[in-house]
This record gives sequence, C-alpha cells and structure tokens, in this order.
Amino acid sequence: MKSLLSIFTKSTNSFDGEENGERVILLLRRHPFFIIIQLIFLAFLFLIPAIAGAVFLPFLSAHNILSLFLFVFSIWCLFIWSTAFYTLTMYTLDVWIVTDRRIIDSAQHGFFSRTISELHMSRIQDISVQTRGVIQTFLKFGDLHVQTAGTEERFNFSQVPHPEKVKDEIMKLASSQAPHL
Amino acid sequence: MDFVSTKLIFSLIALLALLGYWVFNFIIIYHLARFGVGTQPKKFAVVFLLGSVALFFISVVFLSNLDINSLKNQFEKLDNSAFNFVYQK
Repeated sequence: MKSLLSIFTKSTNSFDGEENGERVILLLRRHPFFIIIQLIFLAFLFLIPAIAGAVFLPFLSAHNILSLFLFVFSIWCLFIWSTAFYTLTMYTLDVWIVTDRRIIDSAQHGFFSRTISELHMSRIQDISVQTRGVIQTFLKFGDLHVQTAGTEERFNFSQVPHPEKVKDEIMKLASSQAPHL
Repeated sequence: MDFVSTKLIFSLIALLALLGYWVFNFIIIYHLARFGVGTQPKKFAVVFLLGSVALFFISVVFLSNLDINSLKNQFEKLDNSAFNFVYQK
C-alpha cells in the first residue's frame, strides 16, 4: 500500500521510450501563468450562476423552482470541473524533457493526439533565449530556440520559466557530450 | 401515455449524458495516469476523480429532489402569467 501511494510523492520522471540508464535532468512545462489565466476564467463561469442564484433566491423559492435551479447548477459545476481538468491535462502533458542524452518535446494537441520530437545533445549548435513584453519580463519566462546542425528547423521551447537557467543547463550538457563546443 | 413517453425520452437523454460524462472523465484520468511524467499528473488524476465522484453524487441528490409534475405546473403558471402580462399591455 505504501509503495502504491509513493507514486504520488516520489518520481524518477520516467517516460515512454526512455533508454537504459538515461537520467532526466529537467522536466519543463509552460509557465503556470497560462494555466492560471484559464482557470480564473473558468472560476468566473462558475461564479456567474452562483451569484445569479443568490440574487434571485426569493424569486426561485416563491415559484418553487429552487430545486430545478440547484440541479442545473450542479450540472454546470460538473461541466466546469471537467473543462478545468481537461485544460490542466493538456497543460500537464505538454512537456519538454531534458535528459543527459537528448531533449524530448512532447506536444499534446488533444485527446489521443500527440507529437513527440527529440534532439540529441551532440547535435546542438546554438541556443537563443527570447523574452518579449512586460509580463514575460516580470514573471521570468520566455522562449528558447535550440538550433541544430544543418538546415533542420529549430527546436522551440515556448514560454518556459527561467529560460536563461534552462539554456545554461542544456549548454552544459551539450558541452559534456561534444567537447569541441 | 404522453407523460410516459416524455419520461422515457428524458431518461434516455440523462443516460446518454451520464455515459458521455463518465467516458470523458475516464479519458482525462487515463491520459493523466498513462502519459503524465512525474508525480503532478497522478495527483491531478486523483483530485479529479474524487471531485467528479463528489459532484456527481451531489447532482444525483438534486435530481432525486426534483418533482417533475410540480415543475410542470409551475412552468404552466409562469407561462400563463407571462401571456397575461403581454395582453394587459
């Protein structure tokens, strides 16, 4: 039982396609600002009928439709709850995994729809950090572009927290893989 | 007969909505538990499951408190009063 519950407290951050002896260095998601904004919007959607119900309580009671209102409101709450967790699921599953060997970009586009791309550390040539606007500057998040050898497209980390630290960490790992860098 | 068919249609819609709701919830929990990396998605899955079950039972309690006949009468009354109001103008 204790070992079963440990999945909620301990993690080796294992993932599909993990190689033998591969170690996860960074597990990155978009900055929480984006999910918080969406959750605040859903909280407003929850509050609107709750406030309306409180305001029109005398009317609902007088016409004996309070029980109907409560039922419809509970269904509305179910809808908001599921929508909130759908949003959280998409946010949580959209990850960048930096291991000691490679970078994996797992992008979730909806249920049962994912794009997984990977880039080996030895192929990294250049990393640039882009912070745009007041919100990104104050909340310390931005975009990270990893340039690989050749004419291949860049590997992008969008709106990750502390992009400079992430860049340093990746450069350190890339340097250890390719001593000429 | 008319009331029976209304009740049947209502029950069928409720059953389909119920099925759709739990399938949707299962897919969310499956994604969080199966594809999630780290402990955070598993925690989300547990919170979501507990919350869904609690909210679902609250909805069932409110549904069982509904008196369809009484509501039908109330809506007829409301409808008539609105109709009269238009004519009085």
